[in-house]
Amino acid sequence: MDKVKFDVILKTARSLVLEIKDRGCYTSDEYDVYINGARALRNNKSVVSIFDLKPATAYEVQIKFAEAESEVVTVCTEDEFVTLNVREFGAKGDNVTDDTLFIQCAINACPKGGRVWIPAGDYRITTLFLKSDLILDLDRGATLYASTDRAKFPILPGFITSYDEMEQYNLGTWEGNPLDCFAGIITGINVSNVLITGQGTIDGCASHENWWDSVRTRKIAWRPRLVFLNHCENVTLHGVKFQNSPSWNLHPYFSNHLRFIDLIVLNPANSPNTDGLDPESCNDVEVVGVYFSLGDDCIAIKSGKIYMGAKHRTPSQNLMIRQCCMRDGHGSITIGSEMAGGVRNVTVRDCKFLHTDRGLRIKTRRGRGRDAVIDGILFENIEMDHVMTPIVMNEFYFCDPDGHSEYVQSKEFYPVDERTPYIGTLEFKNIKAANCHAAAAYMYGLPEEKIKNVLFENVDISYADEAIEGVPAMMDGVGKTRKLGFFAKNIEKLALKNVTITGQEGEELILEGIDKFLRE
Amino acid sequence: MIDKLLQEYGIKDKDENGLYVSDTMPQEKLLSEILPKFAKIKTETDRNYNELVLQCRQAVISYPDSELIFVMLAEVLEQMSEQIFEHYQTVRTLLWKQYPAVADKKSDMVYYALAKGCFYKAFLAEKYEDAFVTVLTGKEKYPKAYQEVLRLSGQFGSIIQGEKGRIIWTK
Repeated sequence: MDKVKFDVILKTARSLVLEIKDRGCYTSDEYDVYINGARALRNNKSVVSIFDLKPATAYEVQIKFAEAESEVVTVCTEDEFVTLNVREFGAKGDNVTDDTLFIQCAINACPKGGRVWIPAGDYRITTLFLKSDLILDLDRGATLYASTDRAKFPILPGFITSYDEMEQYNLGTWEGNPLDCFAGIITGINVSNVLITGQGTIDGCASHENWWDSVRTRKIAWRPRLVFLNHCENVTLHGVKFQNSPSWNLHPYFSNHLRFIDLIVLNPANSPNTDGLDPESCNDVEVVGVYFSLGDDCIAIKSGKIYMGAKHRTPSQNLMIRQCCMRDGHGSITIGSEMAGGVRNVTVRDCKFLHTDRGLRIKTRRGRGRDAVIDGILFENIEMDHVMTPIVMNEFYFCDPDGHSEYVQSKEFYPVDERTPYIGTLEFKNIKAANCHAAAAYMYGLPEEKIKNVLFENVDISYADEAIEGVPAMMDGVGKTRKLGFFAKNIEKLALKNVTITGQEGEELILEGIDKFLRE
Repeated sequence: MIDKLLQEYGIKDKDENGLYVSDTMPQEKLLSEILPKFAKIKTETDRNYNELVLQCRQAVISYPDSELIFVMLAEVLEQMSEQIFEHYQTVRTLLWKQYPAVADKKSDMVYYALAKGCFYKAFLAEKYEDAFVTVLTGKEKYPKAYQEVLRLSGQFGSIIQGEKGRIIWTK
């Protein structure tokens, strides 16, 4: 009998998260998790949480499939000092009372090693501010419903000028610029060692009647995020469901050492700018076992527009994304377009992309600058189904006011200068993309600064029988395509090893401006 | 729309510094009138401020102690979209840098632009309290600035004058 391998990837005082190895994002058969010899749950996700455990207690954990099982592993949960039940602080959870202040009181009163517990109930809130050394635990059946009255939300100023008028303190941000925005429903500013966990829900209550109406207009301030983490360290979000965000769902900003584990992030497919997770100028980010279904990009990795990118030169780097399922968004994994500080070392592994417009989507353009470096991107063991175009790299993205200008859109050679962006090495290994529609891949580099090195290895792309037309890349002069082959232009080194593309209309490979091409 | 604006002011050319020139109006006055309108049109259309910012930057170089140019910058800032932040911030910075050269003029227009600059956070309001005390105590002499200071006070709640005429910003 084969041995099942698993890791304990998160251990708290009240829960464990297990990650089953080598069986994809979802296992082909269901399995059982046994705790101390008793069956605790049945599942088919490779990342699974076990809740309702006791602190500082040893548990024997085993996973059993019909045909295989794991070793019994003994795991001891973490210590816990005290639980602060928000009901004891006055919260009602009756879906009527504004419980913000009561929950905030419990948060502020929580000592190191303590836990703020939100029992089952419907809690009405505006913004909750995190503090350092906090565990915020939402019980099964606990839902935080956010107000949609913008007049009730605090504002985070884009920046506040120092007394000598020489420096700025940045708090609010909107689409890569330091602008006034409402505080997130959950907001952390300069906090560290925070865990938000549990089986509850945080609901932004956004709809087209409130936050999603007239979204390009600032009304008092820009829209809040569901979770906004500004300059935070060691923050973990686990288990919770996030839904109906006014704008981006989870927005860590200049924050480091972050973990997003076994979450559900849901927004309607027609909701505007409701990206799932947008790490912006963040370092060391782990995203594991998260299910996204959204109206915009599932994960969009960013590092600011030109002002913030040039001022702080802080890339987003060292991101590991694995065992995630992404569906219905514009891009499964997007890099940019606000990435003037660069994006480096991103690994996406064992994920499933379903019905998104694009699998990997890189959006950049002339003018992003020399710090706008994209390098070290690896996609491995990815399954895609009904993704319009699995791979898109676009260095002519027509964003910003000058996006349609000749400087941005010209396909002619421009001198390389301080405005020229850079794309280095990208690797795609063990990719299966079935039922794609618009194109197999669409990669268009700058003629003056070609994409350096792209490898495709063990890649199988096929098209839907009834493929729908779509625009593979948002740049001037690119119209809708249907079953377009593998398009690549302006790449220094392109290698295709064991790559099959079947069912395209027209040429399989459309290559131009490739300095070194290898096919095996 | 921009073409129409340039035509209205008889602008057919630029000088050796790249600044607009017209046969009908001195350049300093021309720039002070046209650039805020230019900014407004750009904000309402494509928000491409490249040319606007070039004009502002060059105007400051060509007229470093000009009260008109200082006021123009404040009015341009007011018309811009903050979403094009790098340009918005550039105009803020130009305004901030121009102030020392015009501060001694202590005119209605300078105080007006200063208050507007505070409103848009080019300046830290509390550092210019003396100027605002002057405005508040000289309402007749500084009518335009007075209105702008009142507007600024909205950001703080209200203004009361404490002992020795010092402004107290109250919520």
